[in-house]
Amino acid sequence: MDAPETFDEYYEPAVKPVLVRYERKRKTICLVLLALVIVAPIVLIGLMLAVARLDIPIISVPVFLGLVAIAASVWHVMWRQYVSRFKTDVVGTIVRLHSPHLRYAPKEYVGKDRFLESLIFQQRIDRYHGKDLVRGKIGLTELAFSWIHAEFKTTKTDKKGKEHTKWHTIFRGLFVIADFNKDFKGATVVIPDTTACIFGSVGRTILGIVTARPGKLVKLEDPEFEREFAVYGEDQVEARYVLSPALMERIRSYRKKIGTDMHISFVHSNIYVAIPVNGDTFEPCLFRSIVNRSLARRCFEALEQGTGIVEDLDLNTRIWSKG
Amino acid sequence: MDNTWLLALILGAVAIVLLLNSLIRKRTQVSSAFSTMDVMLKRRYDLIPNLVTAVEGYVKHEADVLNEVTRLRAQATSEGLSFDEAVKLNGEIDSAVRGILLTVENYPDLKASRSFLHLQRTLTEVEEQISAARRAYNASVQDYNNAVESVPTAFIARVAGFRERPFFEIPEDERSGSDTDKDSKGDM
Repeated sequence: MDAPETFDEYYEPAVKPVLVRYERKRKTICLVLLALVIVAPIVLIGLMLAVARLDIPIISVPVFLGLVAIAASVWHVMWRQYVSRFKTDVVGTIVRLHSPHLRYAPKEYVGKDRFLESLIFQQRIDRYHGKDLVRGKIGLTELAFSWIHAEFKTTKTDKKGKEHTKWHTIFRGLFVIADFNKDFKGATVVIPDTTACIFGSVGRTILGIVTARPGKLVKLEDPEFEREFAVYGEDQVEARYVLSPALMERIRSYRKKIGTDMHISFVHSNIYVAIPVNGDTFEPCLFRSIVNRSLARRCFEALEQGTGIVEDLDLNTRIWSKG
Repeated sequence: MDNTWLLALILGAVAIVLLLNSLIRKRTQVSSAFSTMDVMLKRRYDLIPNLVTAVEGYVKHEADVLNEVTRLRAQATSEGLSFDEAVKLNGEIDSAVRGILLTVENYPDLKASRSFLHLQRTLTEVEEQISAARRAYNASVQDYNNAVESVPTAFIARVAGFRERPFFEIPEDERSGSDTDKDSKGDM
């Protein structure tokens, strides 16, 4: 599918009308916030002056502040509900138009057990959350992906005995799981090879010794692929069975296409892809108009990143015994 | 001074032992990779009778192709083949099996039959596994040959009788990356 033309074809008739509807609601919510932010302080000052100069009981100030706090909470709930409905309607529409066999669930995400199953990230995870799950089937390939944020914490105790906790991101971005087109039992992990890029063959040797990865370093025949990625596998033959010359070439092209480093693993007949992404792709902005092509296109492009692995890695070719 | 010489001698001996062990490990790795490749090749030999049985009812006028592959299979499974003979035979079996699959293109009924499709998929899978085993074998041979030829292991290799091993030749179409998954895509 040629993405830009297809997106333009359905943006005007199908997506824009939904955006226009939500734009009206966004403006209303914005006005309510502005009213709270501008009017409330003015009323508060007026009330305080009135308490000072007139016979108004002083309790009216905390009562008013309490009412403002309630109004702010109500506003926050209103905004969260707006975001939730926006995602369900707008993003759901874009997902259905992109691929009719995909379903979108804004509050669901790929589970931590599946994330750990990928063997891509070795650190202990102390905090894990996500959103925007898309799942379904593209051709013959089962697929699921969502935005994930996984973190670990470090704790230090200062001289006064107070504990300070610091959170570190392990991974933040799009995490994709798909049913691979070959059957295999073990695990093969493909990671960006920055060490070898910098230090050449010496770096690769060091990488093989110090990195705690499953299995052993697998040295493949494609020098271009070797320059960009380091491969670890529990079984040297299985790693080469999974990473055929054709697939290596496709992985390189896919990496160039998405324009960022990615981690891939092949575990128990599934493929896992972790693509780092900053920011929230599907969230509307309160103070910016949502009736703009670039917001919808960003959603579309995020979808393309997730679903693109099926076509770009040719996962629908099912010519082996796994149908 | 005597202690210095003694220390140098001990360190030298340790280095020799380490390098020798490294050569032995690499040689064992080559043997292990060859055994794995052998296992994959045997899987293919086991599939050939099934292929012949599936096809012979349809391709009566092209029996030569089937007879040829049966003959080659019998040779490949016989005892006492040298490495070079095994490589040559497997290349011929590769060509013969491909010839049969090309012949099947002329028989749409056979091509569409479920049992043949299953057999074809299994064959494709086995071919890819053989290819992977070959690549793994060649990687271990490269590692071993590099050790045998590089200084200082070359000296120890020469004295201890370690010799270079030949690579398992990979067919041209696999080397160029147009492997079976691209070739067969049209069939599906």
